[in-house]
Order: sequence, then C-alpha cells, then structure tokens
Amino acid sequence: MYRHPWPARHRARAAAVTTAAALLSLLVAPVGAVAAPNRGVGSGAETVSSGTWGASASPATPTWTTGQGGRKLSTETNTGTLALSALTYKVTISSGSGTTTFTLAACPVAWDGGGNCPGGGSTTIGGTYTIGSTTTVSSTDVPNVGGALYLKATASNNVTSAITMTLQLSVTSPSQLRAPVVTNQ
Amino acid sequence: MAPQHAQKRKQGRTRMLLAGLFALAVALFTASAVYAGLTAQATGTETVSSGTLNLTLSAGDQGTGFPSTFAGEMAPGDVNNVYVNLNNTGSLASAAGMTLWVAGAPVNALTDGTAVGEGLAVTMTQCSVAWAGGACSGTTTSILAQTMVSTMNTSGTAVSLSNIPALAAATGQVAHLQVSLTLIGTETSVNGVSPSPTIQGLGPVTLTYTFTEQQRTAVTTNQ
Repeated sequence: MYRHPWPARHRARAAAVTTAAALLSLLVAPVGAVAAPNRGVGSGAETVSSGTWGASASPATPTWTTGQGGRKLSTETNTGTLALSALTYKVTISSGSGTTTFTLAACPVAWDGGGNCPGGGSTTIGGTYTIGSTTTVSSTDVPNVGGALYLKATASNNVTSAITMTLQLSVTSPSQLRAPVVTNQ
Repeated sequence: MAPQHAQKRKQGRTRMLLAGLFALAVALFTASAVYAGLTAQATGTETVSSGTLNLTLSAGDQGTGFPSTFAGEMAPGDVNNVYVNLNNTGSLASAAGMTLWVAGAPVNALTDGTAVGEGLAVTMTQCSVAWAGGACSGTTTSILAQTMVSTMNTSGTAVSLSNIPALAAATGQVAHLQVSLTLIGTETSVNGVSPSPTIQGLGPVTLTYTFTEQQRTAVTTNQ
C-alpha cells in the first residue's frame, strides 16, 4: 500500500516536538534522580468503621390527665449498633398540685394487661419521683442491639392536675458501652 | 537540440559540485590528522556503584499484618493490634530518624479532628524479639506514644518516631512492631441522637501508614 510522505512542514513540526520532549526529559530527570535515592518508604493499610450508640423511649412523655392515676407504658429501644452496658435516665416530673409520686420499672418483655412483667424479670429504675423534680439515674438494664426494653411508669394515686413525666435517655462512651474488644492481627 | 545543451550544462555543474566536495573532504581529513598529531592524552579510571535505600513493611511474626480490617464496628476503647516487620532491605544504612504519617480515606471525623479530642489514635511498640500471641517475651520499646491520627494525617505533619537508631537504621535490620489502633470517643447520645460533629457511624475508612527513612549522611572520601 502506498503511503503519502508527510509534507515537509509536518516533519519539521514533529522533529521540533520530539526535540522539546527530549530536552524537557533531560531537565526533569536530574530532579527525580536526586530525590528518589535519599528516602526509603514503607507503607501498609488498615480499614475500620465506627459503631453508633444511643437509646430512646417512645412515648418519651407519658402524661396523666387530671384525676387519672395508674400506669403508663413506654418502649425503650437501642437505636445504635453497639451493645450497651448501662444508660442514664433523666426523669423529669412536671410541676403541678398534689402529692402524687411516681415510679418507673423496666421489663425485658412487654407488660401484660394486668401491669405485670411476664416471667417476673422486672427491675425498678431509680426510686420515687415527686412532682416538680428532676432526677438522673444510671441503670444497667439496657435494651439489646435491635431490641427493646419495656417501661412502666406508675402514679401512686390519681393526680389532681395534669402531670407529665419526661424520659430522657442518654448513653455516654466509652463507660456505657460494651467492654472494649482487643484484636491481634 | 536545446534540451541536450541544457543537460550537458547540468552534468557539468554536477561534476564541479562533486569535485568541490571531494576537495573539501580531503582538506578536513588533512586538518584532523594534523590536529590528532598535536594532541596528547592521559587516562585514569574510577569505579563506583550506587547503593539502594529500601524500607519494607511486611507481615509480622504473628497474624497477617497489613492490609488489616477490624472486624465489625469499632467502639471507643477497642484496640486493633497489627504486627508488622519493618525491614531495611537496601544496601545503605538510613540516618537516625524515621517519620510516620497516616492518611485516612475518606476523610472524616475519625481522622481529621473535626470532633475535638475524638477519633482514631495510633500507638507503636517495638519488641526486641518476635511478637507471639500478642505478647513480647523480650524488651519492648515505645516507638510512638498514643497519637491522634488527625495530628499526622498529611506528609507535612508526619511525626518523628522514637528510638529509631535501634529500629531499622542498619542494613538488613528488622524491627518487630505492634501497631495499635484505637478509637477515642467521649461523646453522649441523647434520646438516640448523636452529637454533631460525631465519630459515630463512620467508615469504612482506610488508613494508610507511611514510614519514611532518610539516607545516611553522605560520605566524602579523599584518596
């Protein structure tokens, strides 16, 4: 197959480009030659992901209307991906009239219709809460990852004004997380 | 007959050109011969070889070394120990002093210091003999006290490692290292909501450890 020769001006341009590239490489090469030999580098990689921690109650504000007493139920869930060893309840009872007191209990399964914990595994969270108080309590009763804990708030008698119990659940790392894991690879 | 005439003239010019070139070649040859005759040469030889400066990071005496993946999700206080051998495999010794920096990809609060006082941290310990079962039966030497990755996450912020003369300074020397990675986290989630910024739920993040040694001091000899 016959190939047309390049026109002279194309050959000249190609020659100029080649020459420029050669000169550039001569200029650049010594820089690399100086930098490369005076350092030795070793490297390795490691991959990690961090977990999440937290818990919440729903409803978080059980409320007794005037004249109402008895129990209010709430469900507490582990909203994180890490197991917990404890959590902190901040229990606030709104201001109001009367001398009604309140208690809070947890059950690993749902409370039955009679207000009992099936299997009898309930625990009391804190002591007695009075109207207008704010109490912080730490508890080792915690929901498993993806699981729930069932709460029951009980009024000692019928309230004489509307009262709201506010449940704030907090988890602080690392003290309220599972025991640390140490791996050797 | 005009074309024949022109051709003869052309042949004449060609002969003259060839004759001129021949004369020029003879002149150049003669000149070079004269020049060669006036040159004296002395020669000497010198032999050199260039050395190599190589640093390798290989699997240690136990485990698989790098690359390493922490199984599951890391919680504050968890530790991932990776055992590696740092080896000067070149033919040149390194200078006293070695640096380390750790790049995180992607960059986030685990490695960039966004969550103040929190994030990944590295500790390095050298054992005088091979590590076994996560324990050193010889003498341990601290190479790097616990350091937040966020403070050494670029080549420009590389930190100097300690006790390097005993590490891999000499040719062929091996350092048995335990690289401990931990997560420092002191934050509280309230009602299932993490603070902002947070170190929670991040990753996977790949950390690249880069050790750099410098060439030994240049030598000047007089012979």
